[in-house]
Amino acid sequence: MKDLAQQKQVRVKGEIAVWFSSLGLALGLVMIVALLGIIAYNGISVFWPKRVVQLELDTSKVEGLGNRSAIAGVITSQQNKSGNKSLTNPTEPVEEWQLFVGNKDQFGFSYKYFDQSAIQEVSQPEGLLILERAEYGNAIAYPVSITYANGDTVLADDPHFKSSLKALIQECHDRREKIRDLEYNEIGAINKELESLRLEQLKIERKSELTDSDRESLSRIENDRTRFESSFETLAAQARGLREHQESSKLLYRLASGEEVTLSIGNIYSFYYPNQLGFFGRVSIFVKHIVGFLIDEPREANTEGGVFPAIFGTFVMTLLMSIAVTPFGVLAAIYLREYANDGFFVRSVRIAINNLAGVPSIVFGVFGLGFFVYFVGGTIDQLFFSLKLPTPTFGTGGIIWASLTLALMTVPVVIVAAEEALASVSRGIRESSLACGASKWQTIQRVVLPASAPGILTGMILAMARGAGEVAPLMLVGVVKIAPSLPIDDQFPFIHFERKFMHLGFHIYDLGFQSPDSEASMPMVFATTLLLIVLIVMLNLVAIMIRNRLRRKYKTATF
Amino acid sequence: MNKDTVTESLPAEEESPEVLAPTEENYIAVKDYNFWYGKAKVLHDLNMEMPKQRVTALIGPSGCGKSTLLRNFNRMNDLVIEAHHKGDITIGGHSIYDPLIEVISLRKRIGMVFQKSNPFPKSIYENVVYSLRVAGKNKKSLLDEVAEKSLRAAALWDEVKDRLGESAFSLSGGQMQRLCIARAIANEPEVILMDEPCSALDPVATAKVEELINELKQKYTIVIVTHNMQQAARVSDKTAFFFLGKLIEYNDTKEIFLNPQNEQTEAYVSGRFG
Amino acid sequence: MERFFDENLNQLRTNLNRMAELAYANVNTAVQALVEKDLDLVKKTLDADEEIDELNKWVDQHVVEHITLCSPVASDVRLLYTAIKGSRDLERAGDEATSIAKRARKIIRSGYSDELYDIPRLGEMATTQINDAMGCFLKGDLESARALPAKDKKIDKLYKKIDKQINKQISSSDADPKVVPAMIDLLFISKSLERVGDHASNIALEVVYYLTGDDIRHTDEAKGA
Repeated sequence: MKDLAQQKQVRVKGEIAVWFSSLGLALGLVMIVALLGIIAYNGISVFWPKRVVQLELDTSKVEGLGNRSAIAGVITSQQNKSGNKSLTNPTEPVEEWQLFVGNKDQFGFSYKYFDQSAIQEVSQPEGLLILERAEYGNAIAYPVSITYANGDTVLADDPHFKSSLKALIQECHDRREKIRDLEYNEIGAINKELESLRLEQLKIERKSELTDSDRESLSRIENDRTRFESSFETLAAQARGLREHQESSKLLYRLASGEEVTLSIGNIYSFYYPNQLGFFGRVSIFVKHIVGFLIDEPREANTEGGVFPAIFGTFVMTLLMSIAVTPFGVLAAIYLREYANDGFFVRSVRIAINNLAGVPSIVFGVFGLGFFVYFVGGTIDQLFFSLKLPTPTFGTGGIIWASLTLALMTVPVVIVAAEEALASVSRGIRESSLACGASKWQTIQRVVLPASAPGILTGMILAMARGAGEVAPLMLVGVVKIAPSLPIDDQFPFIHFERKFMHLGFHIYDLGFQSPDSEASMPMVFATTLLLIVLIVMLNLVAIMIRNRLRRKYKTATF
Repeated sequence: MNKDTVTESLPAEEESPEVLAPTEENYIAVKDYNFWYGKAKVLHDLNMEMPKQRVTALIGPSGCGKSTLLRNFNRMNDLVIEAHHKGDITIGGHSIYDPLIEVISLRKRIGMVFQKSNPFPKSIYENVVYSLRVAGKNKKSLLDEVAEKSLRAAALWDEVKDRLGESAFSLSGGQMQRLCIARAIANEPEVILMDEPCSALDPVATAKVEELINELKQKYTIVIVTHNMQQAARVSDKTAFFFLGKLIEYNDTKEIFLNPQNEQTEAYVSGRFG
Repeated sequence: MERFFDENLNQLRTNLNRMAELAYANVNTAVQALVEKDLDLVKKTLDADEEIDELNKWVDQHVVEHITLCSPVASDVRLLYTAIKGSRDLERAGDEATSIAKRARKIIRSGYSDELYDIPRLGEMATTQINDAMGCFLKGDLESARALPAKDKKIDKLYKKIDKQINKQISSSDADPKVVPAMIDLLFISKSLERVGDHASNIALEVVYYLTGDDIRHTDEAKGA
């Protein structure tokens, strides 16, 4: 019996330690799950089409609406008003609702709080329409009629109303694409030609003496320019004409509060009746919103539209960074591990590398700006792009400098991981290679590196995870709020290392802190955050899959 | 290979470069050989001769210096910092410390098989032809020929001929070790050194490797270090017993195991040591 | 899987067989020498014994070497045990042949020409026993090996009969004193043949041990019951 008692005691003693350690894990897990959960919930719910309510208000209790007695909107939160207890019953908190009311052009705001006491009636009229517009965000209103360019009208209760509106919006969308194509591609191509003519002219004019042939080419340049300028004019006029066409047909709608508004169809991207949708209708709108978010370009100071350029920029930058950091880090690790004799110098280098990992990232940004952008980029500009000066080409922030700066920042991670991977290659396998008559470098190149590839990839994964989420240094070396073009496109030479780019992390910062309407951008902050996390997870997953493949291929000999 | 130059070989050079005519009986000759790791002397005044195309087993308790001696035959210990030696080792009449012979070309003449089978992270085929590849021989027909010949000699050909392109790690432990043997003989070495080649294998794989050793001695001179005395008795023609860095007894295997002259040898081979 | 030391074991088997052949032949020749009164055959028997002795030494030496170097187990050990014991039995059978040959020489020289009782038959039975025992060993024939001791009983019976006859002859009043030494030699010869039979059945017992691991010596089965 005594033995049993002792045994029990020992077991209990052990269990406390188990509980204690599991508590640590549990806390960490709870925090991570909660964080991810909040981001995921908020990020995803942005895209879900919610029902729209119409409130009948007690005008005396609402400020800032004038004498509007009804308003429609989407309930975004219902909370207890803080710091302002009800006068009649101080203990009872007052509930207030936050509504997304849209129609910023009419109200001047798009979110509004209403005390519950001011709300007299809540209804969900089926006729309410949500319009996604090019300007001023969404409108929530009752449609009244469509007016075509030739004066025909279709009333909202006409059975063909929906399909007519849809057709018109599609037509405008096509036209918008056409305008974009005209302005971006054709006019862009002419601009490019003009720029190259200008540079050619500059080159000739900078000569001290002009020869006859120079004068000849100057006049040719002048001719070309007039020719290009005239075709530019034609195209611009064409675009203008199309634009005017966009304004030709109109939609008339009436707000819940009574105002009637006329909007040209060209300003409408899409519409739906939120209170008429069934579940599948909602899902299809939800999917449409998500796809739009992923593939569209941003609108209205990034608060509307999609984030495709930011996704693309993040992806390309992370890729470029990985390509830059891996050979750099691996070579350094090879020297440290394989060649350097373990002395004072090597130890100090190791300490320095570890310290480098702890340097604040903004310091790397400053270094990148000073070294890469101004020194390296400036030198490149002077050597190869002197004609374009003072407009910098490489001497300003660009995706290549951002990638290199991040590569520099993450190189300690790669070095440490690669060193460990190299160290884990067994002595036996090295000796076998040497015994086969291989030299040391052959051994490293043919045996050690393949065997340590999975570990090196782990280092790359860590570097990617760190680099992709970094924002601060990027702001100094090439990230912008809105980039006019992507770093990789169909124009020669296809990869434009010097271009500025958009980045999801910076996008979040910009939406959250630099946006004029922080309420309006909050949903986008969540959605973008979720997207950034998903993107990093996906990059990591791909790298892990590659690593596992390598592991299977090169798994160390154990039996 | 800067560390190679660290190795001292003064006494050997001081002596007149008397090249011993290689005979069948002294194909590998160790003469007044001493070896140090830093200050620790691990081999003391060794003198022994190993016959050509025979198996010589080195036995003795752990730390007796048998592996050190084996690894000195292809100068593997040069990699150890502060390792140095006195005396000489000749293989086929040539000193392995001859300054005219590069370590790499020495190692091409001497194949080595290690305790743990350690195939390279490559295909079976590439493992076998590795020593040719590093020597810059890349002719496909030559490599194919060598791969087949070596694998046949290692009694592995029939098992792997249909999957030469697969990773070497897809083989079983015993197959891996035979692959390592095939790799060691791909270069047609004169000597094969084996450092406890079966210690990590199961009895079946061990038996196969032993059979292989018995086959290989038709062509190669083999030196094997083993902790398994039964194995030494089975596969070797001559056996050397080492203790504390000294060669205690060296004789025909039959004599060592049936009628050892030294008490320590008797105690060791009969399992009554220490 | 064939091991390289299997060659040793095969050689051991071959040489044991060779010993058995020699022992068989020697006993036969010795008896024949007695029957045919042929001194040349006597000489042949005596000469051949040397080879048996050499083979005996060879077998012993190889068994020891094999035990030392090849760490045998299981049937290999039983084979080696059988080899060492069997070679001894065969060597002893060879010795009996020598002894028979020597006594035959004495009988021939004494000019004895009376009857040989059933000695030729006894000789034939004894040599057949050796042959059968060795056959069991080579073929791994357990059944026959187990049956051998019973056959030895017949040899013993025949020997007892001869013994009785000769004793009666010697002790009878009309015995010729000149032939008594030859009669005694005949008695010894028949005793030797009986011993050869015993060696053969010993071999059979060893074969049983080799094949099954059962030691059936000194059991009823061994006594041919």
